[in-house]
Amino acid sequence: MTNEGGRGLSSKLWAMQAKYAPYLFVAPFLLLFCAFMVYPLLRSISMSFYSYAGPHTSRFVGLGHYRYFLGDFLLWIAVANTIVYAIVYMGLQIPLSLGLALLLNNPRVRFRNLFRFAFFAPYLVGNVFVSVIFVLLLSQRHGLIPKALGFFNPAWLEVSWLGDPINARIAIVVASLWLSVGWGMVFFLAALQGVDRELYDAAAVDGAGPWSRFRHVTLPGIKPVMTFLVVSGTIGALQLFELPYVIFLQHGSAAGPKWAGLTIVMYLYQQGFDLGDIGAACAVGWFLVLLILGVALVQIRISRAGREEES
Amino acid sequence: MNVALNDTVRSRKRRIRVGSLTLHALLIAMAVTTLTPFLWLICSTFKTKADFFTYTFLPWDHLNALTLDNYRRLFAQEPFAVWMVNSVFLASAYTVVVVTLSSLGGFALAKYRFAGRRVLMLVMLVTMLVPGQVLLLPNYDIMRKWGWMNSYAAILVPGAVSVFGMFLFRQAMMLLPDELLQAGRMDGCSEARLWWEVALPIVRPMIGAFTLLSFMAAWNSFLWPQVILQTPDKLTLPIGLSNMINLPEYQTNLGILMAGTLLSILPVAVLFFVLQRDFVAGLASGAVKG
Amino acid sequence: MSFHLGKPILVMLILSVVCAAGLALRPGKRDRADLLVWVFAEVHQKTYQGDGKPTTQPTLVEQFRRRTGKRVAIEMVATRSEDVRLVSMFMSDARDVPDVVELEISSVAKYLRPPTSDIGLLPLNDFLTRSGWMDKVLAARFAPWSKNGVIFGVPHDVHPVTLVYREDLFREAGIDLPAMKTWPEFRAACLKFQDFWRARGVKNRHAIELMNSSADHLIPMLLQRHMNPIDGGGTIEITKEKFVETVAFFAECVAGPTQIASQSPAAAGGLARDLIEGNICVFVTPDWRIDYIKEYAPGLAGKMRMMPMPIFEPGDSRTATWGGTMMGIPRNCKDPEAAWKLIEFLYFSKEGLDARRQYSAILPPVITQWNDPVYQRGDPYFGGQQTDLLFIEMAKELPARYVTPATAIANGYLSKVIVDAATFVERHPGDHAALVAQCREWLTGIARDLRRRIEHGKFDE
Repeated sequence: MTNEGGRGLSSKLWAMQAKYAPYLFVAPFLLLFCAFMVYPLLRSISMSFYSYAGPHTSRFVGLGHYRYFLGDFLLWIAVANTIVYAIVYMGLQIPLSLGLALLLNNPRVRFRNLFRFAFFAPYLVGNVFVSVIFVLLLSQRHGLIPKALGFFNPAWLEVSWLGDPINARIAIVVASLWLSVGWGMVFFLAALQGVDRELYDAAAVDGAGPWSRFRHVTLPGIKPVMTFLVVSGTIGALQLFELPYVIFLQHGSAAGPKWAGLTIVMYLYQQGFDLGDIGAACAVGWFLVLLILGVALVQIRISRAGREEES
Repeated sequence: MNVALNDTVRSRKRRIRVGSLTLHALLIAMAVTTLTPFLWLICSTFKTKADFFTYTFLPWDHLNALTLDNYRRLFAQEPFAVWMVNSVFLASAYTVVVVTLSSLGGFALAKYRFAGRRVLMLVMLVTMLVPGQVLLLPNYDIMRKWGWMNSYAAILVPGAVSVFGMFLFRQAMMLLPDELLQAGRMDGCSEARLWWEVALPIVRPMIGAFTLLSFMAAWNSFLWPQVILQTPDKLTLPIGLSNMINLPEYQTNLGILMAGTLLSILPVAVLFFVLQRDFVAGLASGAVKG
Repeated sequence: MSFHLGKPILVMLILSVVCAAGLALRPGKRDRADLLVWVFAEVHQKTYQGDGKPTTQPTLVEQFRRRTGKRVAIEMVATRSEDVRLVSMFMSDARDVPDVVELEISSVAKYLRPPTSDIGLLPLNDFLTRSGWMDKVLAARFAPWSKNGVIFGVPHDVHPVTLVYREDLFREAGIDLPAMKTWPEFRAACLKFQDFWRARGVKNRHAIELMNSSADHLIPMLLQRHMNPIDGGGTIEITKEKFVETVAFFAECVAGPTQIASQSPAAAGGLARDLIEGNICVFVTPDWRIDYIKEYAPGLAGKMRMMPMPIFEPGDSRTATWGGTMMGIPRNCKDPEAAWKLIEFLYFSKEGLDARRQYSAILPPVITQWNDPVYQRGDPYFGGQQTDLLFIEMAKELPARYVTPATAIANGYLSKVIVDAATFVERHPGDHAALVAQCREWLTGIARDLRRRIEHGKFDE
């Protein structure tokens, strides 16, 4: 501003920076998006048309992989396992997280920080190590969990948690709940703090009971967070891999009894790294994409329908 | 009358006291259940091989058999310190980069109307739905071709901007009044300075929350580094430790593994403790509003 | 000017700069040893490198350096990580590979999937013939590591399988277990054993460890009868009548009225606990498992005995094989000659085998070595029984074991059949004929599916 001579140029520059700033700000995203998202996705499509064996060995199979996997009941077991897991896990995680958050949000709770930390702590343990810990906690006759259950009923000491197809699935859900209930709780706590106190007072004046207050004040207030947790949680659940993989690796069979631990991503991983065919793995990946898109669309529709119903 | 009133007050007080006691008892019971695996984990790091399965927690009848050997061997036998340094570097560098770039992107989305903004948002939404594993093999193929195998660039660069983070920052920065930005421009602030000096201070809690999220994600990141990192001097904590998890036939040294697991949780635990208030507040300001 | 991203980010920024400086200044690549070896088992690592305890002999690695001047580094990489890293290296044709790798039998098939010219490992036939080892090593043990006659790995072991049992507990029950020569006799004896203890209030005493959710223990029984799920020529054997019979017999051992088995946690310490407490009193064991039991259950010394496996019918082998390791040289190794010298030294030399004795009971596949008096000693852990001699006797009748890329899938299928058959036995106790018919039906369906899979993954040269 003081330099009169350079004013023309500098003001032009100034205008330019103002004009192009937003593009510059989103440029890193765009660059990475093209390099590590668009390009690989296209590559993934083309790779899925080939079968690979070694660094110099590949063969064009066209839609062969897709045709093969459509008729592959192992893939369908993986799909069924993944979906059932996602439903059961979300169905338990959301209420448990919300329940904990409601308890902790009670103004009479003391040492809230400590409790919050305690419930959140399991989330700090990586998936892989949670698996190792749970294999040991669940070991037949010797693990902490059978021993604790055996205290109530001696027969439960002999329960094989990882060797029975149903029990193994329960074990996976329990381990992932231990890991993530605290995670959901923190989000709900944040949401509960955002709910307007006056609304509660107003509801109390109207003579609303605790249930009706929950139903008409709390629930609408935390709805966005709930939607977020459900959508992101479901997407995460559909990508389940490390937990069952490490658990059943430790238990001697690749995917658990009767493939109880086989998930879509595990199947993808097996195709890519156990059988060494990255083309087949890419094809499996596209089944996962379709599944996730489908589920996400359904969930968005439901939440939209819910919103319209309210208004 | 007075007496009766006193009575109801007292009984109400008692009810509250009882309610509060039940509440705390419930919370404590649940906290104990949640923390028991940690207690078991801690105990197991001090046990000898022979006691590992014999005693659930500690060998009560011969406590003198407790040992620090697992920790000693963790550092002597395994390059645990190297893994720790690598992990600290990768997680911190990643967090710095991702917080910076995502907040920049979020700022642009919240406070500028530019051509292609809506398309961009839509693209971002779709991006969130594409599972990372689909990209695993093609990206691995790219890294191979670029000669990025076994390099940290392969870990830091592809994830340097988080779409989720951009959305979070966008939500938080929407609350920023435009007048403030205009005033800044009047004072001769460049757009980048507006981001730095006006926008960022207002979304401080969101920065805290997102810092924690990113750091934890980087700290526990597993599949991708497992595929990329090849030499022992490059491994991170989860990869190095999981290296010790062997097939049952070939024995995993559980004591050392548990000691390593415990030590690897500590840094994130500290970070959570430091940031937990920001974390909740940040989430309340951003994600909550949908 | 203040730092608006907040203190944590500032701290992380400083940390990452400091660490980056540290990483950059780290004394180069700690000058790489001449030969880098990947092993996946701690026992092997100890054998080659010593376990840090002072010994009279220098370690094998040290002896090798004195002999050839080559420095060797042994790196321990767990099986799963080794798989991911090696597959990734081989697929990317990486240059910076280890010079020698040990691979596990369950992982090897994936490396042998490409056409022989594109396999990441070096063919070893020349080395083996040139050095004369080809004829001194048990031929059956080259099978898992070969493709179309090209050998990619040197066998580390034979891994014959026997049964080890709590002699004291069986004696108390008045049962002479080794007298049971066939599996049905053996099962009857086990049932008697369990009844004996149950009558005395010991409810959780199971005779034998057999996994009911994986094929780990079924495979040895099948091998005894000279059957692999998929044999070396790619023939699927699971629909053979003997195969079906064996599966049915196995199911009746793990469930129903003739149940004699229970499971033990995967980790070695778990089985040791079960043996000590007498929850499980017999276990199927190759030589390598003995080491772990001795380590975790030293208190059972003198109470244990070893016996050959019972058979189903004449012509069956009294043993099987379980597990296995090979040593091979990646194709991109810079000095294959030196690598071969190291393999010879570690696997075949007198020094190498002596060191192995020190850390494990694993029998080498070198036939000429078996006459060594060291194998004739009695083992106090087994009450003075000559267990090594028993293993050698078993090794001589060892059935061949094959692994193909589809073997892992076949094993997955078998574990499913075991679970289903066990459920069937619980629902229809005693109906053996129906069980066999049902198993046959399942296995026929599986064979069809396996054929389809093999066809899909096939790469013709």
